[in-house]
Amino acid sequence: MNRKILAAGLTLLMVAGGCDQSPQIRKYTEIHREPEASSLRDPHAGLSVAVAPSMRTQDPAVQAMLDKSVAETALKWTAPEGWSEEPGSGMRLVTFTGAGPDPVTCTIISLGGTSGGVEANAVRWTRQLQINPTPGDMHAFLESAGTITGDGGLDVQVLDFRRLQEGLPAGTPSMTAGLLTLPDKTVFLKMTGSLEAVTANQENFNTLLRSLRMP
Amino acid sequence: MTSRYLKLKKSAPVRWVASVRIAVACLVWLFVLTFWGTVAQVSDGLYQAQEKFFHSWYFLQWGFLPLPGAQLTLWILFVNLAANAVFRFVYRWANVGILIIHLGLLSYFVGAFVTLHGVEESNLTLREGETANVAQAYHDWELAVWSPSDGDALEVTAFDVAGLKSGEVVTLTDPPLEFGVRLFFANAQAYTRGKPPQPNLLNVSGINDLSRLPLDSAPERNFPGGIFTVRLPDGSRHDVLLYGQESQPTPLAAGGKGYLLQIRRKRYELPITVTLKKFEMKKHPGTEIARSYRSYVQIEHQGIQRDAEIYMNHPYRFKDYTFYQASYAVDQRGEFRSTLAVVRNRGRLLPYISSLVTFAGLAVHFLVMAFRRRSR
Repeated sequence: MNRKILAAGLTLLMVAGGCDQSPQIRKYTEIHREPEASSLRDPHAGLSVAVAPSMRTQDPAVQAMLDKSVAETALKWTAPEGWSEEPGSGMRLVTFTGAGPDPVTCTIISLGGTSGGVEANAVRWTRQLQINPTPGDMHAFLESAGTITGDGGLDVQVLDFRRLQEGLPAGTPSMTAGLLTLPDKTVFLKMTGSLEAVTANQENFNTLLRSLRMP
Repeated sequence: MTSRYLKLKKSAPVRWVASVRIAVACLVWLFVLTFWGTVAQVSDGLYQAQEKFFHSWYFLQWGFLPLPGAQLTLWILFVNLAANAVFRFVYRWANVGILIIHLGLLSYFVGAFVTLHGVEESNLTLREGETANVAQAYHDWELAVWSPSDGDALEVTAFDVAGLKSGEVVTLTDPPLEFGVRLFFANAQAYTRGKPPQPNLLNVSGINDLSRLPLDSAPERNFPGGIFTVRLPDGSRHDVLLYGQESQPTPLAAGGKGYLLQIRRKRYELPITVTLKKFEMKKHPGTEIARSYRSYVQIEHQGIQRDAEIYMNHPYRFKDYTFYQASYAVDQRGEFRSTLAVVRNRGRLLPYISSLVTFAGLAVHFLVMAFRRRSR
């Protein structure tokens, strides 16, 4: 009888001990898939504020991988007249700030791969701007997106969200975006500000797009 | 029958444990819990209500009144029935049918236990033409590590992050990495600004700080995050911040070999690969309301391919796995994504076996009664 009690006690101890074990390590093979284009899985999304990475490390090998992961590019540009330029780091290559009391902010961000594609990013941006176009309007918007060919021969697709904001007050947040698709990366150029400021700086943004070139 | 058994049978504790009143009380309380838990799903949500009423040992009503949960009640009922079977039941050939019925009823409890602790619920979202061999958990998270690969397959090593504590160390053997947990939050908010950048804190998304958030009642809204000191095979250590909402893994490298690290929803490897060939949705005429939707999939197992259709009330079953048509999404350009709910239930046959045993017991009992009546 005592042996049975002892065995039961030991079993209980083993079960109780099992509750506090280290995490179980699993190994599996996964078919590689492109990330989904939902907002939570989007490269830009899910963060409370804008991305401004500061990934610097003293290990050169690690730094090389970090640099590769954010798809740094040899892209060159010329800042439009009147815009101030602030160098970025990581995936954000540069930040421009327009002049005047109601300035625009313009960023150039480089990401590896397609980064969700044009439509997924366009849908996400409309949500950010709190625009709710009908599927038909969105389809027409994407179909009629223009392209600007730069001096360096690079074609940049332009999404001018002001076209979906006709009739809204001048202070409404707005955006014009440019997407440059390169063989292994996508470069996003985003000019954000009030509807009035974006309209006033549209020609400067087009100038920036035309200045893009690869050395 | 030993004297010890007879003595035990008459002892007060055994008579109390095997009391029929306990069985009746448990059944009544289970009825109350079922009703209460069903109604509470409206206000608390499905998951919270399940956790509170059905998966719990006890719960505090109004914050101070402890009441037994369904798990405790079922265990009491199981012990009570088992004690009945051992100490109260009169074992003779005429009662063999009733004995089998009771064994069948007890095996329902075993089935419920296996289902509760053995079921895996996940989902699989596919675009048309896309193939996958892993399903994604709804609420559970893992820290996954893999090496960059040019091929179609990734060799992933992962461990669950639930319950990680500061100071804990998780050691992997392949790849030989060591994760020291500096801090970990089961639900966290990430910040990219607000604090000066920490020069040696690595994060691919630019996050430089985390703060703890209270756990949300809807578990899908909880996003874990943590800072880990990762020791690489060359002995170097790096502080890495990982957060559940990041879409990209954070890379590390040592000795010419790279590693990608990410906290993401837990993956369950499937025994088959599933390819969504086509998704079809039909609408009610003149409306945008879906009338039916179905996924045309190709299943591959050990080199053998077969086509299947999955739609409402028509799941696809493979061994312990069942794939249900759960939902769909369509983007602004009309491209479909189909979401299949994947349920792995290792005890899925147990209710059928229990029913068969119970049915056999009923049949035996009727036969015995009929035989006895005829003999008289």
